[in-house]
Amino acid sequence: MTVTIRKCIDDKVLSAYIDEDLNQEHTAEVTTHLATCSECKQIVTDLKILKTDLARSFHVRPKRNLWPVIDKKLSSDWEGVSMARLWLPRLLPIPLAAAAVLSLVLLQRPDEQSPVPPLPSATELDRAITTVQQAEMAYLNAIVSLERVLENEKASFSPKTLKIVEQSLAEIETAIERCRKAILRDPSNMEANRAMLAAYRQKMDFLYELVGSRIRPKGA
Amino acid sequence: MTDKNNQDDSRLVKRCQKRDKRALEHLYARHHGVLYAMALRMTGQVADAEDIVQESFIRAWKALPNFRGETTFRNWLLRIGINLCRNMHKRKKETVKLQDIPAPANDSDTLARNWLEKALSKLPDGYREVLVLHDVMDLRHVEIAEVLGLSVGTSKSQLHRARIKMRDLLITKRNAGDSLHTAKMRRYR
Repeated sequence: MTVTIRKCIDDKVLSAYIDEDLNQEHTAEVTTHLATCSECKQIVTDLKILKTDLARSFHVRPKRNLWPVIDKKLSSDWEGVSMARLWLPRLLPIPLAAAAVLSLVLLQRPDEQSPVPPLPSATELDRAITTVQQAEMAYLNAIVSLERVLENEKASFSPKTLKIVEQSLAEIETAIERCRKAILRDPSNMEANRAMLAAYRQKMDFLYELVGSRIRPKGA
Repeated sequence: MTDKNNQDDSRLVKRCQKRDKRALEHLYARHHGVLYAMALRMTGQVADAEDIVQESFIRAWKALPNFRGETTFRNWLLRIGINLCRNMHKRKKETVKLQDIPAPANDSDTLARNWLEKALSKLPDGYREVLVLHDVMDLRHVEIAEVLGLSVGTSKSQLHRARIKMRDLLITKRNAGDSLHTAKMRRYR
C-alpha cells in the first residue's frame, strides 16, 4: 500500500533539492519552508538517508581477481582463430567435394575490419561439422595408404632427404595436432576445422609428391 | 571521469582494437570496480555480479573492433553490463514480496544493507538502473542518459520516481512495525 503524505512542495522539487540541482533562489525558498514544515522535512530526511546509504554501498570491490578467468576464456577463443591464420596462408586449394560443400556452408574468412565473423546457424554448423568429419576420414584414408608406400620406399632415399621428409611431416603433424586441440575445446570453431583440413591436404599432397609415381593405378 | 582518464582509455581501446590483450587487462584494472558495484546493486548477488563483470569484458573484447568512440569506454562498458543485468533479471524473475522485506534495523540514521538490496530488487528495472547509476555510482544525468539511451529529462524523472518508491517501501514497513507494537500493547492492558 502506498502511503500518501500531504506535502506542500512537490516531491520532484525535494528530490532535486537533495541533489543541489535547484538554482540559488529556489534552494533558499525550499530551505525556508523546511524550517517550518515537518512533513516536507521528513520526506527530505528520508530521501537523504536513502541517498547516503546507496552512496556508501558503492565502496564494494570484487572479493577475488576476475582477470585470470576472463583471460582464460579469451585465450581459448583466440587460439583457434590464430592457429587457423598461421596455416591459411600456406594452404593449397582443397578440391575434395566435402571441402567444396564446406566452403559453401561456412562463412568467408573475416577481413581485418571485422575479425569476429557472425556465427552460422546451428543446422549449418551441424552440417559443416559432419562434412568436416567426412573430409577428415577421406584424407586419413589417403594418407595411410601413401604412408604405407613411403615406408616401403624409404630405403631408396638418401639420409639427407629422409631427414628433410621426416622434419616436414613432423611440422605438418604438429599443426594438425594444434587444430585438433582447438576443435576439442570448441567443435564449432570453423576456422580451426578449415585449418585442420588444409593441413591434411598439405600432408597428402606432400606424400603424393614423394611416392605418387610408385602407386600403380587400379587394374594395372 | 576526467579528460585525462578518457584519453588514457582511448589509447588503451586503440591497442585493444589491434588485439593487444594487455591493453584490455589495463582497462579491466581501471573499470572493473565500477562495473562490479553496479552489477552487485542491480543483482544483489556476488556470484551474479562476478559473472556479469566477466561476461561484460569478454563481450567488450569481441565488440571493440566496432567501437567508434561515440561515448566513453566506461559508459559503453556500463551499457554492456546493464544489458546483461537486465537479461539476468528477466531469466531469474525474482519477485520479492513486500512482507518478505525485513524492517530496517535502525531507520533513524541508516538502513540495514539487506533491506536496501531487497528494496532495490522490488523496483522496476528502469527505476533501479537510474537510481543505482545516480546515487550509487554518482553519474550525472547526462552520463546516465548516454549509458541507458534516455533523455536527461527522463533520467531525472525516473530518479525521482525511484526515490519515492523506495521511500514508500520504507514507510510501509515502518507503519507495519508500529501496528504490531500497538496490537501487542493492547493485549497486555
